[in-house]
Amino acid sequence: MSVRITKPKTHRGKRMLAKREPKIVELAKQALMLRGSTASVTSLQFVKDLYSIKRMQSTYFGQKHPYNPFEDVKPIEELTQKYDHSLFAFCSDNKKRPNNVILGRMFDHQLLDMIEFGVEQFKSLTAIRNAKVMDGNKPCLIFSGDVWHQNEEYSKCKSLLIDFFRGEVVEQVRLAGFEHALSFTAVDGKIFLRSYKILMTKSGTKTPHIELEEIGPSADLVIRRTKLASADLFKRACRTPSAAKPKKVKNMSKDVFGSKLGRIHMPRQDYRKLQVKRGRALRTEKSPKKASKLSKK
Amino acid sequence: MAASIVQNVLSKAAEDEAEKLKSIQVDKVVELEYDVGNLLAYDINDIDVNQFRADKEAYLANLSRDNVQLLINQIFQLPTIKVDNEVVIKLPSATTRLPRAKPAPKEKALSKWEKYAKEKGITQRKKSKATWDEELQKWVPRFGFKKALAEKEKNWVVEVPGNAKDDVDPIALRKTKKQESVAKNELQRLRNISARMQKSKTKAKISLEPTERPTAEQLNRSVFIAHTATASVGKFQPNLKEQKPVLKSGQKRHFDPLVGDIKRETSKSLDILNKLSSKKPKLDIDKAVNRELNTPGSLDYKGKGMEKKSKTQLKKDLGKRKHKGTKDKKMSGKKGDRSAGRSTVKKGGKRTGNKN
Repeated sequence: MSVRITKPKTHRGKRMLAKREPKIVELAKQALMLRGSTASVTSLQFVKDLYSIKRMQSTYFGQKHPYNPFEDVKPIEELTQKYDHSLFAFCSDNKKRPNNVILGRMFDHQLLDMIEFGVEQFKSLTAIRNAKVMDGNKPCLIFSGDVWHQNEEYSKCKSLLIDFFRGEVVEQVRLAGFEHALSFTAVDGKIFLRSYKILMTKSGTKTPHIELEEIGPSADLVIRRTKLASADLFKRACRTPSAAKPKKVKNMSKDVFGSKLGRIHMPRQDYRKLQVKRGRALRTEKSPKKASKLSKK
Repeated sequence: MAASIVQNVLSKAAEDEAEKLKSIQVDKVVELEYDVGNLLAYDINDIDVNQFRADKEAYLANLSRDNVQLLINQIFQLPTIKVDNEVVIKLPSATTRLPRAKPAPKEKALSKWEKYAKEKGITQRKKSKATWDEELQKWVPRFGFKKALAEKEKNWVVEVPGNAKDDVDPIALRKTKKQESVAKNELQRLRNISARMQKSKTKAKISLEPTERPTAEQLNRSVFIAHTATASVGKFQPNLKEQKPVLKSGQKRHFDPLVGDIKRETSKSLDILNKLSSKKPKLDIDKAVNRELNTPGSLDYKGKGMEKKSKTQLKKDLGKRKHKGTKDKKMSGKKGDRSAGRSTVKKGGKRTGNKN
């Protein structure tokens, strides 16, 4: 644990350091979208579309980064440390791995896991011409197919995708605020990513009838290489501090009328020695005359 | 006739209404798994691959619509509240366990002042930004350049007593005093930081290597070792003048009573037998590896005979083994080596009369 020795010189600097310190309940994970030096049009557009979806919680670096994450993650780790991000997306392309996109996440600015996807049949946001969804909207995530829990790789991939796309952790959502849906279907050895706008219509009940309109991006992803965290590192990363866990409220119940009830547990009392007479201090004064009389005494 | 027309019209109206209000029901073989806190739904149902391959986009669109409908059904069953004239759903906490971005914050050690304040029950009180200064008749801020200017205004003159020395500059003295107090504050801050770092470090063994300024712990340890480094292990060793009687430190060995809980004794013996007869490996490799990763060096063998050898010593030992027919003195097993009760173990001793 490195302790900062030099004090920050400005209030702004102090606030920034406080923001980067580890917290009990963390803020939304920020994603770093990187352009590789060999990125193809498809893979680059995919990363740009990811940036459009996650605009509120990501930064896009459009310069060509000559990195090879599966060989050396260090430059990406350094970038994530510098900009305090914990997710990254990196696009590249070569003969062996065409239209390549790597999604990864960090723990303590060290690589936790990363998965390489091949992007096929890509339809960009710009290719599908219709009204899109507002920025920063929390999407509904749908995972279909039983591979997601059967296969170890797929289950880690699912965790990564949830982390990437879930957006901010919120407690309240407007009834009309469910606008975006992302569906990941695992069939035929591929993951079909589809993105929809949710249209709600009357259904006669409180719950609306749903219609979906595809807005894009849409891609068929193929898992290529993976670099997954060891079981104990993953366990360590998932550890939540006890302060973050919800506290159990004991000895509280509500009756039919909604009033709070609790139980008091009394020790055994000796009924022969109960205090029955009220002491002078607890006696209610009926008239001011009496009070003055008592005070005189 | 009229009745039938009316009936037709009504039934048609009902049909139209029913069409408008579409169903929210979706039939699935297996229920979906929901994590409403994350707006997540997981559909475990099998996907009909043939149907899928027939028309991919349509199949995916239908599947997504059904699943989103089910998720929305779940969401809309949650309690609603009104916030700022907006109807809002309160989401439960997320159930999928996702890794954190940074490790959980460790509890900060209290600084010297914080400890004292806690003891005495001193709490911080919110101070106002400016105070009313009677002399200057204006509101002076508590800190900053405006405060410095106000101070200058007030203390533009320094009274010097008659017996003061000539070469003492009272204004320069004021400046140096301020510098000293700043330096003192900085020193205390650094001391707090070092104290915090010392605490966070794992308690290493107190080294007895010669240092210029030995710490109190090191001195205590040296005294203890010197005291007990006698033939009687310090029992008949007189203490130094101001030395406190040395108490045994370290873990106390705990022995079960000879006669007592029979059940405990039987369970213990059975445990031993089970461990002996079980097919589980005695060494839990995962545990050992994890321990080594988290606290490197904690599993190093610290017993006798495996001390750190110097390079030259290692070379010598290796050189020894190269020769044929040399037997290590420890392993010679001659009767002469064994004396009653004690084992003579010599490290790297001279070879006597061994053939090459």
